[in-house]
Amino acid sequence: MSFIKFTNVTKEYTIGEQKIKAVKNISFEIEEGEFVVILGPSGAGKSTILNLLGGMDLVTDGEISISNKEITNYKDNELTNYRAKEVGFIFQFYNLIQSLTVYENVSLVKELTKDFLNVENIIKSVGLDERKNLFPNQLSGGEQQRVSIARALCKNPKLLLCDEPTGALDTETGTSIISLLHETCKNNNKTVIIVTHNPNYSQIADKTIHIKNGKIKDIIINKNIVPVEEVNW
Amino acid sequence: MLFYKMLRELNKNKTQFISIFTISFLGIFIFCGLTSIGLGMEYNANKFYNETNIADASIKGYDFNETQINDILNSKHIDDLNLKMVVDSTYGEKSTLRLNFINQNSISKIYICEGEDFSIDKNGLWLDYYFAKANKISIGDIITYNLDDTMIKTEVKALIMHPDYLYGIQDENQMLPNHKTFGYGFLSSKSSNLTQIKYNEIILNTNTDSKELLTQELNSILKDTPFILQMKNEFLSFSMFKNEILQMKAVGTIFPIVFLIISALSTLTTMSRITTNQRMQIGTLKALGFSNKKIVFHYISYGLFLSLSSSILGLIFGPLFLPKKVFEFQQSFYSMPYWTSKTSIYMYVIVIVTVLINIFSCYVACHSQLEPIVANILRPKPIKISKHTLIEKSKLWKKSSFNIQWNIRDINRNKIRSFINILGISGCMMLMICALGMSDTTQNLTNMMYGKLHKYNTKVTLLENNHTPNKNFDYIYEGAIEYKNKNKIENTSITIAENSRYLVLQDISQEIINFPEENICISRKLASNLNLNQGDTFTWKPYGDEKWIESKISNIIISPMGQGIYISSGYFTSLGYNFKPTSFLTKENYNVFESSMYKSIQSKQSLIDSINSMLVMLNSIAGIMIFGAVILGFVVLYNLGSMSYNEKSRELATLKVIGFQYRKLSFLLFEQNIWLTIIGVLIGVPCGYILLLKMMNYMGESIDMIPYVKISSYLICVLGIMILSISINFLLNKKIKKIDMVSALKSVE
Repeated sequence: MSFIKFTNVTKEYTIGEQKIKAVKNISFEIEEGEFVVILGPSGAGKSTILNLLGGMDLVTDGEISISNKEITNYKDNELTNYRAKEVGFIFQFYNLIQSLTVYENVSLVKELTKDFLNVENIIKSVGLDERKNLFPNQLSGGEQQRVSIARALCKNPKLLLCDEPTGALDTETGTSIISLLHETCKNNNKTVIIVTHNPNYSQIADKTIHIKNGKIKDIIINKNIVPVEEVNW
Repeated sequence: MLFYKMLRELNKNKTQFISIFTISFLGIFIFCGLTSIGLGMEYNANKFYNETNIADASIKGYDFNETQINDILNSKHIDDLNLKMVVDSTYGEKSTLRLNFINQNSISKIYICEGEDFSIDKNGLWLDYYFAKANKISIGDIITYNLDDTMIKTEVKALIMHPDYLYGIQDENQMLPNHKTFGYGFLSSKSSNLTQIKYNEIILNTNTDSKELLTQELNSILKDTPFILQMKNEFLSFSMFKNEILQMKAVGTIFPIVFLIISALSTLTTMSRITTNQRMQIGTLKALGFSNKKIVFHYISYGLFLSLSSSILGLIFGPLFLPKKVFEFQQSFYSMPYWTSKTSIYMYVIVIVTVLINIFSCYVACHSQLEPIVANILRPKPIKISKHTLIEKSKLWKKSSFNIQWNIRDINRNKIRSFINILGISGCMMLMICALGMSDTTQNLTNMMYGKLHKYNTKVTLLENNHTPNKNFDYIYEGAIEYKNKNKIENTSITIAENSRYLVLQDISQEIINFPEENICISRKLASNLNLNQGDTFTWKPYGDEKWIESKISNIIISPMGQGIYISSGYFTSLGYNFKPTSFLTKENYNVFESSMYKSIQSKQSLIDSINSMLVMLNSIAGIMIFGAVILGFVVLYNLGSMSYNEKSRELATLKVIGFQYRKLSFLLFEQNIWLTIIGVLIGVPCGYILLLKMMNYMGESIDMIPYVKISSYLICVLGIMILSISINFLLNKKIKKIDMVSALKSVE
């Protein structure tokens, strides 16, 4: 059975008196260790999928299972536990705690799980060893995103969920972030899922899930993966 | 890690948190300080009473014979008795030395401060410690005093204190003890050189608290001998000190409540702002997998940290510093050997409650941000659709200026903050009015009593049956009566005046009235205790008399000092009694009277002086209150002001970009402050008056003060607060200049 399985998932929002279907009856599967891109224009429902997958939102209908566990039936504390141990989140705007240093931001993870990795090593591996005692507002955008990646990796999760991780960065910095994520995926056998509207990501992904108007338009399995450096962003 | 986050954010929001810290510290500091004083006084008074075996009751009379005394000792409800002869002697020029000749020292025992123990077989004088200090008398000195025209020399054996003279005043006309002019001494009746001892007081240890039972027993023994029975609760010293303790506890409760409410509300607004600003961070923490419990605990820890540290400091320093100062002060009024403060579980409970209230404020603040769906927290909060208030719908709205519209909307949007603002100002106003009102009231009392009501210059108390009528003197009788209160018999005082030349009364509306030709006047406090109104019937009789008299109450009067009934000698004699004056009032100066001829001579000036010395005490309490009030006002206004500036910085920047000038902007904010200050002042004035009324109620049973605040005091308070408010506005206005238009308009992180 697949690592991640979406079966007939639907998500409805009620805003005011209007009901909006963000995700309509979608199903797909993702294998462990895959680098997956969820692609689509703004408002297509990509982020909703990511939120559902990360246990931050609840489905209206359908089932989501991750490593054979049905997370749609989870209660609030089970979901919290799931987020704490199994998922690493990377946000578009980094979402670091402004009043904590780089080192402390990453160390937060220690309060969530016992299986955390060595904080010093992780910071070194994202290349921020010399800046670990600075505060987020003293860092550039790319550096902040690296902290956010370090924070996600430190938990040693099976799954990394990235919401437009390069959306706020310039091309060059973005490329380095993507290659960091790609390396992590391939070297440590992590499943990485990236949500983006940039179609160029497909070139480096094992699988691209194309979303439009809350539905899956197509799923492309990429046999011919281009190295990150050669992609023309 | 979240602990570091807390510390850094406390640092970032210094102004707010320091103010919350200061307010709750002051609240706890004053509460714990004053409570420990009250508890200490209570504890030490009990200790003193127990050690000296204070009498349960006392019987005052003229001359008790031996069979009567034996019968009293053998009666069922009386365990033990001591006999006393209490007489006043004159020491030096003007001082009164009250001599207590005792046959035994087992009830209301003498407390020795320095010197020999008392013994019935020893000759000598056991002298009032404070009287000795004030008149520079030491042990071993031989002092001379004038007793019934005889100069007597006695050696001072020891300096003492005594439970009967804990509040050592000569009589109820004197408000405050004056250790220079009044003191007491104890002597053994057996060893004294007096030829004739006439015991006029019996002090008792009883096994009942019921006055009725004792009265019945004594009536059957003493029969025709007039006597006055006083239970322990009616002893002047005992009840004064009890009232003092109550007053201390009352001030100690009212004061901190204001501070603690404001501290809790400030915590709420500050934390609400922080958690609203940190909505994203809360979402992130939740997305990372932090449980609600951990996040709630994190935000609670702000309040916990602040309130716990401020409470603990207040709990330690309040009882450490306040009692010292206050006791120093009280020692000049109350003669008691022990002055220590005391703590109780009650204090800790209040401290814990304070901490819990603050924690709860934090909980409420962060709870509103913790939605179950994490994804919703990470999305910006949907903007509340503002509703138009009633004012906005009215026609006036369209006509009002931009400033008014903007400010009304702003107040409406920040209801809690505006509420705290008003609360802070009214609290400040309340404390200030009460503080100034206390000294105004006392001054007013002096003016009213000695200007309007007591028109004499000298009051001379007569020796028994020793008066030759004089046209220039107004004779009065002051004594005790018994009255019926439902089925109980209680006692109070009576004043009978020959005419209303030098002594008049005032009714409830403070109009001057004369002593009534018929019927009686009753003092307001007594009337309200008995639930009596004008026209009701009052049943009474002079002490030791058999026949009950029913009199109509012709007027209820305000008597600042001494509660009881007031009648004219004409009415008194018409009831069939003999008018035997106890003292007379005269316009003449006190120094024309020969002191040996009279029991005592009091000049009006000395009475005024003794009230004025109380004014000094009240002024120092008022000083503390005003200091507290100003800190409260400053902290609350500055804190809220700087918070609202931070919140409005974007709006202000926008207005600045549009082209509003600095002066216009500062006036915009100034207007709002003035509105809130005015509302606060309007609420604070009546609250201050009510607080003053409450404080005056604790002054003691015999005192009925009319709260009075001078117009100038009101003006000082209002002006003071306006100046405070305006100067804080100036401080804050500097921030407008600093607003950086460009960065303020960038997107929020």
